[in-house]
Amino acid sequence: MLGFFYGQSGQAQDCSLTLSGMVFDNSPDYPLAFANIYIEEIGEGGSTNDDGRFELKGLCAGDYHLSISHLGCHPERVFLELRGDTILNIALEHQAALLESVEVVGQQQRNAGQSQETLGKQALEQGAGQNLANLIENIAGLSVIRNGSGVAKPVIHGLTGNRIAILNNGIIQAGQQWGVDHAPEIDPFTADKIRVVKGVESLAYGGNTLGGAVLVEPGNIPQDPHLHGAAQYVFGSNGRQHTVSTRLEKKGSWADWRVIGTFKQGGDHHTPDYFLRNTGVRERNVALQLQKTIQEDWFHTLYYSYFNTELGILRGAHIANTTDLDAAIGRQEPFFTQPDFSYELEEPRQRVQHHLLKYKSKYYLEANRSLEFTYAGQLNRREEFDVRRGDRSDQAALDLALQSHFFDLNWQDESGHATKKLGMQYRFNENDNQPGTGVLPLIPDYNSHLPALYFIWQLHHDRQSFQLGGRYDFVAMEVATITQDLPRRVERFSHRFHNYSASAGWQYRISKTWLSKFNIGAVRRSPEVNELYSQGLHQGVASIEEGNAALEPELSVKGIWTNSLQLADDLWLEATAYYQLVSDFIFLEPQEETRLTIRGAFPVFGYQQTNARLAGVDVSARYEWATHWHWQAQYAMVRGYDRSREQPLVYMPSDRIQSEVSWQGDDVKKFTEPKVTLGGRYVFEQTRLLSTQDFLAPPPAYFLLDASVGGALSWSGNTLHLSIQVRNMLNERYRDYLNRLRYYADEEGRNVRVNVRVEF
Amino acid sequence: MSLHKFSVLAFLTVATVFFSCEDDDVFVPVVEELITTLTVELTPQGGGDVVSLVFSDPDGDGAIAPTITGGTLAANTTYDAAITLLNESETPAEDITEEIEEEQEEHQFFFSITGGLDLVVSYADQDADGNPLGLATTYACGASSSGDLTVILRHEPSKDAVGVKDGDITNAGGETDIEVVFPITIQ
Repeated sequence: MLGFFYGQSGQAQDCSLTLSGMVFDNSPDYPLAFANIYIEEIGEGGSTNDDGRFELKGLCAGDYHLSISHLGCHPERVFLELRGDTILNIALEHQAALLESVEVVGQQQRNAGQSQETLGKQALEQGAGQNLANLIENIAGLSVIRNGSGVAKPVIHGLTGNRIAILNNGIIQAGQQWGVDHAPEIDPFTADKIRVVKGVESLAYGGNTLGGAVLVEPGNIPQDPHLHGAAQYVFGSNGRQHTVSTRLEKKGSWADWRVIGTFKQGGDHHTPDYFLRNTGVRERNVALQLQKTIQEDWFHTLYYSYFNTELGILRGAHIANTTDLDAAIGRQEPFFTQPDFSYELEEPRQRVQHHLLKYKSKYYLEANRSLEFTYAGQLNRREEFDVRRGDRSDQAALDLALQSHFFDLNWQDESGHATKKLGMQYRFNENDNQPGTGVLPLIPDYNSHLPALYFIWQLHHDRQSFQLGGRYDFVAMEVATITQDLPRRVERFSHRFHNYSASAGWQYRISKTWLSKFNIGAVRRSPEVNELYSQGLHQGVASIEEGNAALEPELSVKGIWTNSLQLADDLWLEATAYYQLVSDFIFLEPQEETRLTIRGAFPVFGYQQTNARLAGVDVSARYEWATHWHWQAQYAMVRGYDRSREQPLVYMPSDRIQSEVSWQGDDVKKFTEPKVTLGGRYVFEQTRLLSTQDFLAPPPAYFLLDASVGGALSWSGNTLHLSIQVRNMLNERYRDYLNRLRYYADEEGRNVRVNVRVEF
Repeated sequence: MSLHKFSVLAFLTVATVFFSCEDDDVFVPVVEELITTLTVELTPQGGGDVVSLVFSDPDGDGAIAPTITGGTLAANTTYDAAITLLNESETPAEDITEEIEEEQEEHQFFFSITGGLDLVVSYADQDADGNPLGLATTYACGASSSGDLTVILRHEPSKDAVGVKDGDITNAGGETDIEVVFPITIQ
């Protein structure tokens, strides 16, 4: 969250150098008074004035580590090679900020009119050990769709799965996202920042982002020649989960490098009343980042990450037909519940591995013009193990390998107030069912070729910014299915789709305290392979799911309007309203027929198209009513409606409101950032649903209370952070509408997390 | 090396890796766990005509409807019943009955009668733990009547739960591997 300009004016003389600049809050252009700037090497520093400016005089040329801190903000550490008079502008991340973050310094591109929210380093460190979706759940307008505690997917403005994009390091995650039980394969420890874009994301990324995007972004490696890093340990009492993660980074002589390794092990989670048998997890991840600059105008980055997880699915949710489902639904506690805790993983379970290799090269033709080339290769292997007869439980019932290759070449011009970007892309995906499952594949073998062209034009003029973008994608998909009738045969199908997207944004800073943004985007999304050809029994809900090869692309138009206001010196408000129309919206509809099999009769769900409407409001507020006291709140509501059938859309998040009060004390010598928070979350009952749309009525509303206490200890450039967080403090017994396992079991009870982090 | 050359080289290197793998290696899996056919063979104690109840669904979860053959039993007669399970999607057909016998502690058949049918089904076999299995049973027919017989096979039931040993499915749990309904007439 920082950038700096060096205005190296005048002669560099020994010990007469001046370091000056400004410190900002990263909420819109808001200078921070009384921020402290401290030079570790000489043990001296200063603070900012009312305008957020500081000046340190009489410094000797040399290499320094600066630490910049402000009450209520997460301190930043900067390495600086001081050779002449230097101007340094720093944006601090507000600890309580879940508001819009506009990066006010450096050459950062702003997407005009985009509504976006950021989780910075501090929020990521606090929430460490959780999966990606759970981390971003506190952002207004976001919710999480789950299949038990271990499998979670983000929902943005009511849409999820194929309709939102998850970008890992700028690359669309190519994983097997065929259902609610397939979570994104990303280790949040690799991120320095997670951004959520609620509008139609910058078209450069591609993908069918009808409903926004989640961007997981590792930061640049700091230009610091000393070895730095962090080690973190998190223990969660619920599930007795241990998480260890280590990060090392250094500006090297040959290249700058960073290594991150994460290890996680957890066992059965616990509701207030019983253990959720077989809900453990094992995760081992590693990431390596290399950066090198050749002759100051040619930048290279190489990134590799490996994600490996094995997780259990609640044993009592494994059912085989509708009789089992009826029996499981009415129970006090799920079948197979055991009185004792266990780390053991048994069937049903999943094993997923994901490799990402990315190479990016940026070459400056001139000072403002650049060419950028990116290659990203991904390999995803997903194995799912079921409770099976005849010693087959060790044999995966689903075994898919998906490889994806992505190339992007773009040209960028950043002269004056305008930025122009033109690019072309090519993506290739190939999905193969691996032999040896002894089961007909749910998702067929397929490959797809996706060439694309795009342009983005941005103009910053005075207090206004504009953005215009367009994109064309061609989709060529070849599918090989296997017939269900005997003798079984391979049948081949081809699909060709043309997808167009366009977006326009306008951002206007009406006054120093009021920023207004508007974005409108149109996206055509072609059906994915699961919507076209999935075939088979959906475990857990005892229904047969059938693709529909006649599906046409769906067309969405979404308008989103955001206002960020500073109502008083200490009160901020951000409100977002959106309205989205989707024609030919693809969804799963229960069919008239029930299918009789040897396991009884099953309801059949088929993919159909309708016209849908989504609309909603997100509101965030922050109030700092006293020096040490902060309050923040978020409210979100979304309404989904099927305009053709005149009924609600299923799996829409219910309204929710959350709030947090925090107290942050003054630093006492080496003891810094003492902080106590108390937060609550109220989730309303989803009442907008017909009784015919689900097996079971949505669960009642619930309220959860969270609390945390923490602080840090600093000594000679090292910091030890310690915090204790309690989730669901009252041990509330509840179920959530967006959890597919709500038919079978309660949600987790109280969880006490101990979080220790050492930075050096 | 210019950027252009570099890009082309990088592209070609990777392109050769995957363009070479044409997707022509689609294999048709052998569907192993499928049960396509359930037969209950009823032999009258003391001699008489053998009656076979058959449920057959060769395409498994596919859209082709199964064929169900019910039966007519003689009033006031007791039958010895034997269940046979087959996977006829393979050639030759695989005998699944053996698999159930091998995993007898993990399986149990249940029988329920609806619609006024005067029939009592009782277990005639045991697993290694002395609990009922249900591959062999006896059917005691009463007076003339008609109704439905439901045959259920559960995988991993808790055989120790209340009533399960007596054939009551209420507390059994586990997963249903088979649940078929036969129309029966007793005359």
